[in-house]
Amino acid sequence: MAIKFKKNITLLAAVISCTVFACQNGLEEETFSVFDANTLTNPENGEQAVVGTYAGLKDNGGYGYYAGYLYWLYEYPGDVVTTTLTARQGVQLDQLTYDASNASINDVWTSIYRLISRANESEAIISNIDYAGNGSTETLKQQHLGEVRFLRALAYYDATALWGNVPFLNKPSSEFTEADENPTLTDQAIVEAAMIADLEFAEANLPAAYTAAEVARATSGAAKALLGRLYMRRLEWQKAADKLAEVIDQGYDLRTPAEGGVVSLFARENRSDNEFIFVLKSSNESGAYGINSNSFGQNSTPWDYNRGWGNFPLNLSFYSIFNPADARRDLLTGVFTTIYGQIMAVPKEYGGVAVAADRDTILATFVYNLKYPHTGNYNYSGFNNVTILRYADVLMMQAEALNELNGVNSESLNLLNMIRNRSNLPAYTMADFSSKDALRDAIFEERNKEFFMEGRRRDDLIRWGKSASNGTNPLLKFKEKVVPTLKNPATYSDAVNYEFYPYPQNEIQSNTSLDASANVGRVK
Amino acid sequence: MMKCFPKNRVSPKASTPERRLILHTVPVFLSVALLMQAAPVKAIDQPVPVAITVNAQQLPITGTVTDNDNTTLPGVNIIIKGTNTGTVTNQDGTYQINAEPGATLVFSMVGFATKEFVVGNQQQINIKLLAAENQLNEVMVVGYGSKNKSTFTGSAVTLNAEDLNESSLSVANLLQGRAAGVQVTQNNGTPGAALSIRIRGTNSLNANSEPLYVIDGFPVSDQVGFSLNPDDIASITILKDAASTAIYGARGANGVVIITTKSGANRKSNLSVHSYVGIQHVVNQFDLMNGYQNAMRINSIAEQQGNTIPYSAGRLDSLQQGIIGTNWQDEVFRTARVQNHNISFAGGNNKTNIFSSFDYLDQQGVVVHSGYTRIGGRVNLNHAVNDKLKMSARVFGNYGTQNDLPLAPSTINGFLKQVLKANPASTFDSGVTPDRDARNPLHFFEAVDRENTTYRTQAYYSLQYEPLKGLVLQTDLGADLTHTEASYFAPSTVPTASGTNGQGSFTNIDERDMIINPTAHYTFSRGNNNFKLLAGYNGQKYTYREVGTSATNFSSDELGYENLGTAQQFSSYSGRTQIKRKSWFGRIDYDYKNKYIFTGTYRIDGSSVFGENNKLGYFPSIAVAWNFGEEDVIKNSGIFSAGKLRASYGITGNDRISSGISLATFSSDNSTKYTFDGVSTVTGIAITRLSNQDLKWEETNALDLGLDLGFFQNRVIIEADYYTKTTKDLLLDRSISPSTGFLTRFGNAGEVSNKGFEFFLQTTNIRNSNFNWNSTFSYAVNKNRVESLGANNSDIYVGSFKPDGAANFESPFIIRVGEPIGAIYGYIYDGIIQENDPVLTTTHPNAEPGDPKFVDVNNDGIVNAEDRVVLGTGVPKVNLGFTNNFTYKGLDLNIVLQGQTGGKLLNVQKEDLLNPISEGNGLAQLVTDTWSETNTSGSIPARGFYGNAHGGWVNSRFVESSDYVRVKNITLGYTIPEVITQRFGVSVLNVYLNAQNLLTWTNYSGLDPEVGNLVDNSQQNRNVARGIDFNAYPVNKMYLLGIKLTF
Repeated sequence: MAIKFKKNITLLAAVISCTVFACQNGLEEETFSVFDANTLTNPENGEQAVVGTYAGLKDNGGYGYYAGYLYWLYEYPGDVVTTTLTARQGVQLDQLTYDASNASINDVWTSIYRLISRANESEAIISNIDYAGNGSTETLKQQHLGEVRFLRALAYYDATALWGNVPFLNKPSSEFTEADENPTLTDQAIVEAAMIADLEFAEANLPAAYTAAEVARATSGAAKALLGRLYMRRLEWQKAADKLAEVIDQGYDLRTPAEGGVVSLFARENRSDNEFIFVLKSSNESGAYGINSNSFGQNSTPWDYNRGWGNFPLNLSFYSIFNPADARRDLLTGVFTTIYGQIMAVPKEYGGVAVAADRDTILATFVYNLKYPHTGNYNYSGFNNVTILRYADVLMMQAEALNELNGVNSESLNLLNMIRNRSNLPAYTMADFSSKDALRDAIFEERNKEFFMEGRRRDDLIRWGKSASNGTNPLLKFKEKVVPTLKNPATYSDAVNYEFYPYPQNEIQSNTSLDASANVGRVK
Repeated sequence: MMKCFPKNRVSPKASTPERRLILHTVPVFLSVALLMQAAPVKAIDQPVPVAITVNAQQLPITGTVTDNDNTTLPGVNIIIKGTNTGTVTNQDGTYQINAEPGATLVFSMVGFATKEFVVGNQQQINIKLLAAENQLNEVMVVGYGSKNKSTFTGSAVTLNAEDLNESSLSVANLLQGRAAGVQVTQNNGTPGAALSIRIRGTNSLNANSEPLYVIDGFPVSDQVGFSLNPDDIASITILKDAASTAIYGARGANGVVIITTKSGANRKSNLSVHSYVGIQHVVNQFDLMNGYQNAMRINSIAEQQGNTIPYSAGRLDSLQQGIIGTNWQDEVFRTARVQNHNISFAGGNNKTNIFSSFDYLDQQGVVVHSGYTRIGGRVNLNHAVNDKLKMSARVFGNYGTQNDLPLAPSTINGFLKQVLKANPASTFDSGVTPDRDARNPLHFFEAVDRENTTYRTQAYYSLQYEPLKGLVLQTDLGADLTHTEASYFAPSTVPTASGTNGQGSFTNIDERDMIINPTAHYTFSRGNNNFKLLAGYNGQKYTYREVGTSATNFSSDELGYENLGTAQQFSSYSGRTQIKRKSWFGRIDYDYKNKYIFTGTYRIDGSSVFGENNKLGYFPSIAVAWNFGEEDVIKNSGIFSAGKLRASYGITGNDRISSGISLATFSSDNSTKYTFDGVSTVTGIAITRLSNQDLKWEETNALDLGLDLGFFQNRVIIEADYYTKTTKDLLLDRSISPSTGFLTRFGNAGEVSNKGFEFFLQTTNIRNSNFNWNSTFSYAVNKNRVESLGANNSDIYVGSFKPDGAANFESPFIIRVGEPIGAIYGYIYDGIIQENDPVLTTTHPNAEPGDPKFVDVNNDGIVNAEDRVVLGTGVPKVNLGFTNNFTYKGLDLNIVLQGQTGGKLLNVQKEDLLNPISEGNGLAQLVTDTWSETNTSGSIPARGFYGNAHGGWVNSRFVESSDYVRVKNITLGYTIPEVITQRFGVSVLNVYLNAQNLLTWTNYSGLDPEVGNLVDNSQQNRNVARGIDFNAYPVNKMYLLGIKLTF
């Protein structure tokens, strides 16, 4: 019996070893439908990485970053754009009652850093690809690097404009240390130095123009214009003037009245234009909705007008600052027939045509912008161009920089008059301005009329305050302009630095290097 | 190898059967051997072959064994007590044995109470066996084998077909209220949507926490859902403790649900038909504003915003009189039909037996346009090739078609929100058909055609070879194939698709799970020492493929998704992932005289989903038990009829995460698309996650202590268990700083513990020839606690969703050390801010009168995110089940109650409907109860809870207790006496009435307390973000009339 028992054990052991040792390997992780960093070795992969980085501009589409929420942060706190009662997140921004829990602030932050991360990864991927050795050129490699570095600088521009000191991570995730997962705040000046390095690289390596099929790619002009904008923000007027002068040499022009002027610039059918230096492009293909589209069309116009959501009402007082001859006033809903058949018009005291409400006339309480027209059905295709940099802005910044450098000067006036003439307004002359301050004010008022709903107002108010106070009071003009538009002026608190938003709650709660004290002085 | 075989094998004829050892031997899965036991039963490895000679005093005894219904029972074991002599009843239930007068015959069979009979001088002994109440002696299926419950060392629940809930549509429904420590929740009432099962709490944060399902011995890749016909199930065993689940190693940590399907063994040929039909309706409706009330409110909002006033005096008048206006809940909810028909055959002979079935289920949803149909069939075949070689084949296939709703339930824009928020002042079918009117909530149901069809085929083949006594070699091969087609079409006539001239898509998903599973069992005894050894290997490869095409610009609407070729523009994608698993395992079972029992298991698991540095995991367990009821001193005391103490300890794992998580990958998707010319789309790539080469198994260490007691011949059975589990190296998709560009990082960190107590009481309250009353009561309490969270124990916030675009950024749940998983985290509500309220200048500086007020918990003078506290946990602490079964002659009444306490629900649904400035409708309460300067006692904030300057929508006002007790399933049946039915050749005819979710006692103010969580692909949400009530598909009440017929 003992022998048999042993035999049985032997048999059992034999069976086990047969099965166990048959196949010990083969447990490696295989990826079939995604790319692995190690396999990205062709110039085509470099191009894919670049496209993916551009896609970061609209993040996941619809409302993401430049497709929507960024301009909520730039426009709502200003004095022109306000909100509807039901758009509660917008109300917080508009009425300066936001705190770290504001969803739009959280969204924009996440989008900005997603773009930065994509740029970082792309930079590493492109750097590791041998373009020349794989049938492409070194020039293209440098262009690709220039594009992603431009996009990264743009994202940091927004980050520093909205928050000042921010986390700064210019490396791919494969090089992350544990500390990098909880980044501390980096001084704005250091971030800006990196942005300048990125933009200088970009202007040196990007082409001046692309073929029509690639018109939305970043050019050297875009890099220079953004660099100029950054110098302006830093009040480095000479550097700004020099850089902007280079842009002016690059062959951009304003859309002329003969071409339809400023109104036609914003027509949906105007898919590209030489006045645009850099825009968020959205596709008008039917499948692009929500993926490659933006939310400006549906949010800009009200239900009564063409079934929009009316999330960007403009204060009536804004309508009243326009000369009736100003072509740009046609980009506002001064008078229109509602979908219910009544006439909605701006009251006379605000420069409109309505005298009194009656059966067929309704007095408008807001106006709406028409820079992002849409088709008026439920399926907003949302493929308007969203301006990020346009030539008119470059001209106006140059006029401003030269005024800061030289006081009232003819070149500044010439630049300013190019903008005014295009919109049927008379030219300014030297006699119109007694001082640098007066011209500065005129430039900012002109900018207000030119760039409403283009995401510039908040930046402008802060720069205006800085330059008017020799850099000592960034909120000088912000307070002056914004307080009268608040529902309750007492909401404004001098204890709060409205120049910078609170760091979003999502960052505070996930980043062990930050806590709620980071927002002291940024919220009431 | 051949020399291993003994040359002088014991002849089967010389063998003496012994039932207990047979049970030990039953080598494997599933009772395959049990099913085959009509074949001659052989002795197992006796020291010396015993030749039986008929002794002079022995009498030849014959007889027939039947069950209570006088059906003859083949395969009943009969042994002479104290000897190894025995026999088995044949196909006709008769037997023959030689025994001395005075000897005791022991009749035993699975599922029946063992009966002893002392031989007198009669030559014929007919025995009637009663169905077993004696749960403690049943044979139960365990991982890779089966065991007599008396020698089982772990903690498990075995439910036979008659113990499962009547007329259940899915497997999970069968278990509701039936098993201590097994929580079944219906998160989503959509017909065809799977229920969620949690065994002994939630161990994991990010890995799938559903139990492992093993169907007839084959571990399947995911939930069973509706893909198995409940009528095919013979028994379900739920393994709860680590010692019983450790044999499944890295897949065992969440418990194991072992499903055994029916077979034709031990049965006369019979054909059964089971049909039921019934109706369902929603358990409850909301009390919403009517058309007039809402129109007035909308007018006032428009006025405040400077828009045209939509409702003229004339329309208001008509609304007030009820001439126009619509109750959208009535339009969308309906009384829905359900029907199920099942036909099955079982039978065979001692070489071959078959079970086959065909079933059809058709369930309409209580929401229009939703529904589910399933058609399936099964063949289970067992065959003994010869004494040593047996085979078993099981094939089932079915397909289920779900007519899905266009806006998925429990998502932010779920269909329920569309219905509840729809404007009651608008009128149904006023010239514009619903599909053409996007403001009509029916639009979403009418306008699109959405159909998901899932085909599932499982084929298993098992060969069992017994080269020598006690040694069984078995190889199982199997394939589990699932194919899903999701089709969608919206014609160009509807607003949502008019801009694109129609929209269609077609998605194909193929899942293939292939398995090979060789095992060796060796069973032997040395005197009173009984051994059972098991060794095995498991190789599994799971492949997932998905292909999808979406199309726009259809030249006509007629063909829709049936021919996407009629469209002009397309976008397509495809994807493939694979998971490979290899495992080696072994088990030793030992017992001495059935009194002292030891079980040890060891498993090595390898899985491709983990990091390069951690491919293998090691999972040991040990368990001991003492059957003190078998000790003479206890036996003679007469207090207990059974008694057992159990202790087990083991390590199990969880590997159920998606593939590719350990790698940093770059993918192409919608977020990487851009256009450079404003027309054509170009696709780029972007990084999807941070890599983690060290990603490894999470590991659960579990201790279980149990006590089983039987009193009064086991008319009262008590089972009590205490357990403590600690899961470490949690697979955790930890939220990290968004400023890294990533929102989460997948890694192993943290520790969670679950401690609990389970109590199960089974009683036979009354038992006589006419009237029987049996009860079971189960009580399970589980305490879940997060013990640590990585290096710095920092909180993890969960649930990035907003119930409305107007709402603040808030994460409703928190994972925090010291709190249970699923802690709801928010503000403490403190009423409404009145005019001149002092908080306007202190803690709520940006607020206006009429805003909600919150408590400044940390007293820093301001209400902000730092003032949030844990407001409760979404997971109930206590689960209760109480079943009662009464039979009186042919009548039987079965009542299942289910209850829970200790959990909370965040009632976002209600909060969403308490928004006075919403574009959509709200609760009728808004009319009278909204705060305003003229109604300062109103309890609803003037602008609701979204986007206020302080505090937020996650607050204590909407955190409610989810305690409830519910009559889950109630059945009243009548079996027509056989004397009548026999005339028609029918042996059993039973008709019954069944109701499900009939009555509920709860204080919860939402539609139903039995909702769980947001439906979301993320496991983190499933595990942690539980206890939120928002846009769920309503749970329904069901009334059924059924008939069971056996020929």
